[in-house]
Amino acid sequence: MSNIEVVWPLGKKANPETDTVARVEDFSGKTIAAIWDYLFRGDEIFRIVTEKMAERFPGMKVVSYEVFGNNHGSRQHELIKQVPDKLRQHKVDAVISLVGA
Amino acid sequence: MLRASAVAERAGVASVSVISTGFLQQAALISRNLGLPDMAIAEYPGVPMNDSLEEFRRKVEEHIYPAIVDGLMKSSASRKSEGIVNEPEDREIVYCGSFDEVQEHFHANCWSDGLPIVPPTIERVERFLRFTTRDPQEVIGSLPLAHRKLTVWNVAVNGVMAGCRPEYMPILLAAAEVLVDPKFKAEDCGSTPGWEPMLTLSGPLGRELGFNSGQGALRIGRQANSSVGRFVRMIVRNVAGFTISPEGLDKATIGMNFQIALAENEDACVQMGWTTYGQDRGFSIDDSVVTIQSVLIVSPPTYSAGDKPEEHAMLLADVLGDRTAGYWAGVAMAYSNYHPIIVLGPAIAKIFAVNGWTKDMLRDYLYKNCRMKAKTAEGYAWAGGVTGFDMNRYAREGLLPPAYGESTDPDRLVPVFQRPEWIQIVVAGDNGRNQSKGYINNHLQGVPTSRKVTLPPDWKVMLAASRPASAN
Repeated sequence: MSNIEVVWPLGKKANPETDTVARVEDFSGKTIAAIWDYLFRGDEIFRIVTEKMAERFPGMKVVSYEVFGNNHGSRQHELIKQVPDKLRQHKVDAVISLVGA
Repeated sequence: MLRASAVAERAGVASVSVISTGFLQQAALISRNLGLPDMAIAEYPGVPMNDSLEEFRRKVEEHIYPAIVDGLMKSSASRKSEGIVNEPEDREIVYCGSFDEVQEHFHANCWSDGLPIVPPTIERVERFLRFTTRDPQEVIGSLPLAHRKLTVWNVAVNGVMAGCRPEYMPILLAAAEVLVDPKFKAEDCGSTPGWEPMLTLSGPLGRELGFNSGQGALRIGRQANSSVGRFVRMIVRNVAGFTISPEGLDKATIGMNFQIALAENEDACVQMGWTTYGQDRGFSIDDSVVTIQSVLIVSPPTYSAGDKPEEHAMLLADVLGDRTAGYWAGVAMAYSNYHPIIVLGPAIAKIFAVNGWTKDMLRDYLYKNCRMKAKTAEGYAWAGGVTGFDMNRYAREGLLPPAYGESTDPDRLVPVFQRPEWIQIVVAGDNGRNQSKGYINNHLQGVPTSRKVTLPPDWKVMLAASRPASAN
């Protein structure tokens, strides 16, 4: 039987890869925010984690997930687009994104 | 959720994502596909919905807290970006071998659904491309989560592989346009409920190309229905990236088979004076239209009897509504969407039609008569992981209709179906029996999305030349 020459069935990657931004050296006096998908008890995780971080980093400020809304619900696309502006508006230094499960 | 992290990183803000153990492999792949392979992850060990309050708190304090602090303060040294990756060109031959060797090669690279594929040779792909005037290089869109570009060429290649005929190409292109529509949310094709996209073809093309809308509808066995259904899954695998983990992005806990394409018995609709499904979707009866939506649950074969429409409607409400759609209604409420399809047997539809019932009257009956306790719906949503759902708050915020927030009594009855106009009715199946079936969708993920099929100018001539003499 003769050989068959075939082509590739996948599409080309749309996103070139880059590195993430610099990490935060010290959270004292810095602002941390949560973006939550309203799933898997993420609100409880955020509360426990930020309580412990506040003990360790004096003056750390917390921005609630309620500022960003449910990023997995019916307004997902609209709310995700608003994230950069809200991060600037609240002078956020770091984000905890909750929860994939 | 990783998408939110990526948006934060691109806005110049450090992020960390909390992911449970079973999803770490998928998270790494998503990070890479989003173009940020070193995104920080904090692992939740195990299954968060199965832990006691005490165990949950212990895991957060002992595992997640230090991982979050590390993720936000220390750079990852293990995963770095590779910039732009070189991948094969459209006409590049990626493999040469015997039929069996080609099958093995495609299986080994996860380019197949596990069944044999038709080898995508350039000659076969070109036969598909003759059925469109569009440029093969045209990018129809990009498909998450793999974030690969879906081109006219890709559509033809995967159509070949799925066993489609070249003349199905206009349908495949319309399907591709639906899949890249952000409203459809292809990024959620691999979510844990394990839903499948189901394509419904409306209009004259279904009859012209031999789609089955009668006895055995939705059964594998007719080339048009089977191969077009397989094509949709092939695109979801090969371009959107939803192959089964660990190599891929599919996280269906327990999946279901790809859906055979559905076509409506439009002649029956016209004879009864009912609108066709295509008309219900806002198109002309002369338009051929592709609609794709998610299907998550299939009802039992629902036999209803009697010569009065109320007798049939009552049974459909009981079996398709309360018993089948009721379970998933709570999660659907949390996502403010629910779009079931009822495939109504022609003999049942006729009972309604001759007694003056329209499709809208049946929808209205089902909306009003399918009810469940609010606390039951909220309980189902919680168990499914939607721990932030509060029905009254959703009603106050307009995310659910007012009927869901009329009181705070947990025993109050609320509608299973959120809006009557979201209940879809397609007449299909055996005219010689009194059966219907319900196909329940996964709320916001895979909402019904339609595109009109565009035929090439010399369609009739090309079709006659493409088909075997016995089919003309």
